[in-house]
Amino acid sequence: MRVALIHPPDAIIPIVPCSSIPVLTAVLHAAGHTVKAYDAGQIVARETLQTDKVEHWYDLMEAAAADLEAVGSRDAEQNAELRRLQRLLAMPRSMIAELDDAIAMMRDMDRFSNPAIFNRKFDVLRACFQLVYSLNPDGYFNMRRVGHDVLGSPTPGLPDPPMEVFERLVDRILADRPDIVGLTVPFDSAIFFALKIAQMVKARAPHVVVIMGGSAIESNSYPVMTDPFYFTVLDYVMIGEGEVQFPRFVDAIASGSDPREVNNLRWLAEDGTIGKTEMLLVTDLNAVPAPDFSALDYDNYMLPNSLGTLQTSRGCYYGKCTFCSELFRKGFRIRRPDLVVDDMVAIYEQTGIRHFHVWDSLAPPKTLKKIALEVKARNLPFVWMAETKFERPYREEETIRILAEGGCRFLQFGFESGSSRVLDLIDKGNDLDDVDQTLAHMKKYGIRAGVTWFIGFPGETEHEADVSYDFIASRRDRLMFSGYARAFSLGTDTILYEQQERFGIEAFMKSEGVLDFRYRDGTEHWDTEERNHAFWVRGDFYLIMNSIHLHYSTLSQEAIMAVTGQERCGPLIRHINPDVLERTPFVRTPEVSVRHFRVNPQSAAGEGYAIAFHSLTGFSFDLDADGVRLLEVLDTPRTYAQIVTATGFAPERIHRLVDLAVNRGMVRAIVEVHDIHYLPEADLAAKVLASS
Amino acid sequence: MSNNLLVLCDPDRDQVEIARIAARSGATIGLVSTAVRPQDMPAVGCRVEEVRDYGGVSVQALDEPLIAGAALAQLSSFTDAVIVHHLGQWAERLTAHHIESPERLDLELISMGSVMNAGLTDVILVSTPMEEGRSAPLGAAAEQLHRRMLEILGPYCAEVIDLSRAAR
Repeated sequence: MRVALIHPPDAIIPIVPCSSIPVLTAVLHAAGHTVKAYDAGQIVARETLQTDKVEHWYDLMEAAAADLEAVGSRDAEQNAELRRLQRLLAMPRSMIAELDDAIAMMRDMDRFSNPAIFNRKFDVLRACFQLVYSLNPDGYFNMRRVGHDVLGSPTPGLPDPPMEVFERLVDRILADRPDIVGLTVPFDSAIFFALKIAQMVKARAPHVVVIMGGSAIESNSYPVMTDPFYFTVLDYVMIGEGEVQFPRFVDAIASGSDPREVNNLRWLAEDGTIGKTEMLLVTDLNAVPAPDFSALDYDNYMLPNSLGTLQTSRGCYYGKCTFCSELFRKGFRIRRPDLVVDDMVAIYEQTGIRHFHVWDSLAPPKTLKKIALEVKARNLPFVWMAETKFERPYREEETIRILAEGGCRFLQFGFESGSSRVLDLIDKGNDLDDVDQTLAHMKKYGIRAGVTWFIGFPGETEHEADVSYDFIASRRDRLMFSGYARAFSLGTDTILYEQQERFGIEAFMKSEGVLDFRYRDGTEHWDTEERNHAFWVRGDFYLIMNSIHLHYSTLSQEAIMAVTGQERCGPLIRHINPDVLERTPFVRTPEVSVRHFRVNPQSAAGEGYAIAFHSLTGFSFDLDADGVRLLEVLDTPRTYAQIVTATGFAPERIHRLVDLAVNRGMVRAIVEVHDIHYLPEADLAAKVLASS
Repeated sequence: MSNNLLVLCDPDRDQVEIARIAARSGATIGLVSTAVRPQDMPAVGCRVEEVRDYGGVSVQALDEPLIAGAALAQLSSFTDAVIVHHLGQWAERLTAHHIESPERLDLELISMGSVMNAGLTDVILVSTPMEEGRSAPLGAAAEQLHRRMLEILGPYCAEVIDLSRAAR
């Protein structure tokens, strides 16, 4: 059988291949099938992220906006489109001229390792990437269509570059005459694109069997497992893991037997209901072959050293975090560590890759230790990182030494919160006092650390959210990357959702596919928006998401800090010593640009307005005249009093504007390190350690 | 490779001997205790190890009546041996909790087997013997699952030590 495996884009810059493609390639090859793999995200990037193309699209937006501005009386729809275009056009066109060079930088270790170059070029790359996926109103980064609307008629007008690439890609795929097209969706974002691709395949070649599977298949936004509608473009959905059942499914198609006898399947039955077979997980991870990367085109991924992804376990050995999806918690199984090292060797021999990301829900520390011992014993030139949590074994210096000697350069911890009370609500099982001990050992042996965390868990106070930020911010000499993952969002397959009464909450559907909660005593949860802005712009989640961290983990502390959001945007106002605040100068951050627009589609009066674009986050913010004036005068560093003098605004107004601008990373305080103070609670763990 | 053992015994009476067997592996011993009923598990902190006495030896203990394989993996990270105490009770807890879901029962056995097979630590499985007249009274479903446990997990054990036979 000829199988086309497609990994649709997942709204992340294609820097590493998703692990499902090599895993499925390996098992299909072992079963004697032919595989062609297509990383559609990588293909879209290759075909769209080019200076001349993006400049052309930018100009089309400019022309479309001008046409709308010229309309005498715009209707609501036209005003909404004009506003959408203006927000995109707030990104300076001049950035696009650097795009080709930005992509070249991503593959050039010297320039990639230079923070000044990296920051600028990576911002350019991300901004252009975002534009490509936003150009058409249906673009992913706009209000993406959820539910059945995803397969509706496209909105006419501006091009939709990813969809245009998909059209050509599907032609290419079908030219190879596949028997089966498999779409793998590791993230919810990929389902949006997978359904579009499936629709194109079915429109051109109804006879080709289309099947979708992957870890994100249980989607609230696109319930493909339960809603017959989606079977207009899908023949089958495979739930659970594919290593055993997917080859069986392909075998069944090949032999002409009924594939509906294969486990883990969903299909549309004759009576219009969803047919299903029992879900089985892989019983023996040791029996699965090593991932096969041969079907992927590694030359087109954007990293100076290619990165291989692999898993040592499935499910989570902890399994108790109340916010986490059951998908990641249940069914813990493990692959023998010596086989994992064999996998790394096989990948190295096949591709030359020697940098690895161990991509488990939660990698067991003993597994990592055994991998390290094996790598050292076999004298393998591997550098690797893994995702874990602050566990007891990492308090032991010996463990950290062994990991370092065996090639580990980065550990990313699921930290979640700097508040013990919130950690207990989550049932994380972390002791904050362990964190400093672990970080101290890691620093000693040169393993860099990162943490992922969030705010807004039910029961968390605003103060506790601030403690989390400060806990991390005050340890940046030991914590390389702060993976702030945005405010909490509730999932249906979580302990929290199942036990809402225990947490005093009530879940409700805020909009299609989006859950929210309120407290049972009638109160609403606090508004996370401004903290979300403040922590996101100072966080490094996008560096982690794009696998920058393993490469930067080998650089100096200064180089690492220079690429962090915290360093680039500086402290929050509350961190500045009150005694020096009035004499602290503020300056506009270089990542911010302001564009004026003649017409404000949100205002009946029709006066002009401005939008600030932040290249670090890609966010844009409306500015009123006072905001524009503030950013103008802060081209030069000025204190509060000097800003008052320069603008003529009231001091209270200036304080409010500066606070907001600093919060969102548009303005930076120039302050000595010794005048930056964090909440005392954030330092508690370190003090306990020092006193003991 | 680790040295996994299956100890057939009276789990309540033979703890001193079980602890002595575990101590052959090293000084740091873990315990996965299946004694607590799922509904009695604390909402918070059930996966924070606590030091307990087991047969006169200090062990790092976790209560886990259901996902015992996962608990074993957690303890494996810093122990020389882990005692899983005990299979019959685990079978009772699982069948009571997942009675409608045989695939979940299988999944837990698979999970335990995969951790034992990974060689992270020495695992001491404690079980009552299944011979006629010698096993502890379990419900039919639990009895059946207990047998399956021994069938599936037995091959991951290098040796079976029958203390009950020695006692007779």
